[in-house]
Amino acid sequence: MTTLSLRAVPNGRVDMTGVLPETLAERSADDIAKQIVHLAGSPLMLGDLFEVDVDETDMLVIRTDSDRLDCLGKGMNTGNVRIEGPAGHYAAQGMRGGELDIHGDAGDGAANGMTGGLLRIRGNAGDWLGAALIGDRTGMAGGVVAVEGNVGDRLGDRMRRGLILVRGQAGDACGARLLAGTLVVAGGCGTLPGAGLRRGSLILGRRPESIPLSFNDSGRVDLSYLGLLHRHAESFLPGLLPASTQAQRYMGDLAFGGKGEILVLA
Amino acid sequence: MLRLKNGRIYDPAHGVDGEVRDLYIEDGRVVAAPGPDARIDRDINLAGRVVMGGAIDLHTHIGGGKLNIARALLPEDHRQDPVPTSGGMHAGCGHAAPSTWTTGYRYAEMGYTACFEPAMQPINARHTHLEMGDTPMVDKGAYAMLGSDDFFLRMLASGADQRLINDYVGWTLDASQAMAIKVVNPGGISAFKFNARSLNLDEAHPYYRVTPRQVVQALARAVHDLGVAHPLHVHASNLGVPGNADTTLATMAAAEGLPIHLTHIQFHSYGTEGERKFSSEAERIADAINRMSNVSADVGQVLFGQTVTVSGDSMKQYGNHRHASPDKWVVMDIECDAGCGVVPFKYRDKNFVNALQWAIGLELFLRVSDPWRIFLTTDHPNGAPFTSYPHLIRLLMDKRFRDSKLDEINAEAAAHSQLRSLDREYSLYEIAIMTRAAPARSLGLTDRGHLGQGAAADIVVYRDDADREAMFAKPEYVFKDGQLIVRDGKVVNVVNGALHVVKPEYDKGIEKPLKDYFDRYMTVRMENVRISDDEVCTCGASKLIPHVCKGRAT
Repeated sequence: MTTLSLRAVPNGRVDMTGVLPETLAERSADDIAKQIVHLAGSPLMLGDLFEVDVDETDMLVIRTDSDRLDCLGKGMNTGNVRIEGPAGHYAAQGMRGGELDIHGDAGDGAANGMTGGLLRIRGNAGDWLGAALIGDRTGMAGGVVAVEGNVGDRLGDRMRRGLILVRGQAGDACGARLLAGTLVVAGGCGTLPGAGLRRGSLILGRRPESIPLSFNDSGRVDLSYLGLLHRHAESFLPGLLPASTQAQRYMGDLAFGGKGEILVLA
Repeated sequence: MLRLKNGRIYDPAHGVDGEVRDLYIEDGRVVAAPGPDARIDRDINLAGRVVMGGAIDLHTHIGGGKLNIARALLPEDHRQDPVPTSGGMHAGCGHAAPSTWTTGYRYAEMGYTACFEPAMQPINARHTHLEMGDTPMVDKGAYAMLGSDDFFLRMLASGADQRLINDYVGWTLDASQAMAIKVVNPGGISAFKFNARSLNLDEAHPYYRVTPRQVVQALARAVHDLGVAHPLHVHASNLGVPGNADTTLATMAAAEGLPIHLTHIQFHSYGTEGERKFSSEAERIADAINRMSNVSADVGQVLFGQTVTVSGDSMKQYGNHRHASPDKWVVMDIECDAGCGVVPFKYRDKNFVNALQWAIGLELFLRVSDPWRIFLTTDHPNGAPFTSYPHLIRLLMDKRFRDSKLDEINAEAAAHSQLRSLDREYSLYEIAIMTRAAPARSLGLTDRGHLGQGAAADIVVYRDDADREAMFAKPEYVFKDGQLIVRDGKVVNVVNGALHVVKPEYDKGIEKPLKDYFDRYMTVRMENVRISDDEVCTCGASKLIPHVCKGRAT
């Protein structure tokens, strides 16, 4: 479809809202170059920042060596986008469908308010991955996020539905205020996992340093759904979960109803 | 000197109805035609264009705490309507509760040059002035809210002399740098805190034992005696309650001939007929306004779509909270001064009640015969955001368009309404009255809202378009104090606008009991509540325009 190659590091953050497969499809390179984006809050044309090439594929490729491109794939409904390089903040914000594949790191607030589709991050992700849009009361509400590297703090804060898979480590307060949905962190996490968790499952590949006091150790359990999850996760991050369906279960957060759980697989 | 040539001028204050002539502007003022040898620096040919004074919105919630609460409550309102920075203008956002900057730009881009915030709580006046100071382009002013504050209700309950009440009202106007006095649900906001969920006009307050009628009378008298130009601005009891038309009529009568302005009267014109016990009483209300020359009103038209209702009427907002859409709301007390309620709301054209509200508002516009006494408002943002004014103007000026919209709304509501039988179409002259000349006269702005000699050169030029919505949405030129600020519906020059206040005469002796009261009960000292002229000028307005009040002896 289209390849956008960033010419030089922009001297401010670029809001890439609206640069999506669905809006660029079947348009000429000249026309695409006239699309308006915002640099540090001021409008300018896409062609001022990027080399635009149109091809026969159905993929939108954005080549960048700067992490200043924000809102990549924001509100995307359909199609395929590959980011060759790092993404800025708010990647896949409010994404509803399609696939966004980031071959690099992602900034803060990725997949905020996401409701569908697939976000792959081959590098690391920043804070607030899969959390709520600023000011909203619920976070990610659908879709799948698969991260190869590590993620920052507040992973899946207030997450409502959907699946987040992380091969690396998570920072502090991962799964905080989780409302529902499934959050898998194979590499373990920092302090306060699941603080304020209401429902949903926080699945940790390694036992964290401490489990918050408001979680109740419910012993070793055998959960057949872990087998289903294992098979499902294989298609996104192979080898992420063991085939075993055994886990140590901690019910909580008891200060918030206690209907959720932390499962430690190791 | 700037000459605007050959424009078709609508200046109702001078009875000018579409007369083609030239306007001369010098030093921000409209001046008389100079002799043939005068130097004209700039000439703009306006042949075929419609020329009016700058529009004045006398009831729009653009400042004060409740707007900030609405903004904080509705991140989605901001997210979905971002405005990037451009050409010296601030970035902003927001559809129903826009940021201050965006508010000012959008008003100017529609040809408005003055806006009045109708619900400034005296204790919150500093915030309101700071926020209005941040609202560029237009002149501003605010009405101080009284009537549910503890000090006033105590005075009334103890049977204080009217002169003492006048002094307190005068002090409030002066200390809060206000333009007029507003009363919201008289006594009712206070009664809510004593667990009352309604308070009728002649019902005694559960604690102070005074009635809303007494509150309205005392305040209307005070405003009149102090010589404030704008009559008492009344948000009557029982807002939004089916059958409240009786209360509204009784409130008009309660003024006993004193000038009174009933605000967002659409929300106060409901009956209880029909299967759903909700009907239009627009005809009775309009007849009363037509009959009583001391009464004026603004409509508070409802237009369909998402908005947010913000009001000092915490009693009624609490009652409405179950209709909140999206489902979140705030109702709070503010320092025993009054209250505040913020409830997001979506008016739907297929909903019987909302559709009938829409029709009731339009009926009121069309049934009140004197455009000098009915003003065009949506009670922004309560009925709709102010950006929908051009659409509203088209509804008033174009019967065919109005009927086509009537076909789209809830069929049962359309059948209940007599709107289709009303053939009146507003003329440009009448629009100029209700959006310019009449509000200026009502507020006592002697040099605004008209184009006579000496008037401030707030001038709007429209292309004469049969589609009145397009015409009023995008003026070709807008001048503010003689400066070109908008060209083709886009801001080209950012200015700041002045602050209008009244300066009534009153006995400063009232400060003795007030100081004692503040020291004893309030969280702030009386001296710190008062905002000086110097301070209010640092809030951001370009200048302070004081209006002298000619006090009337009691």
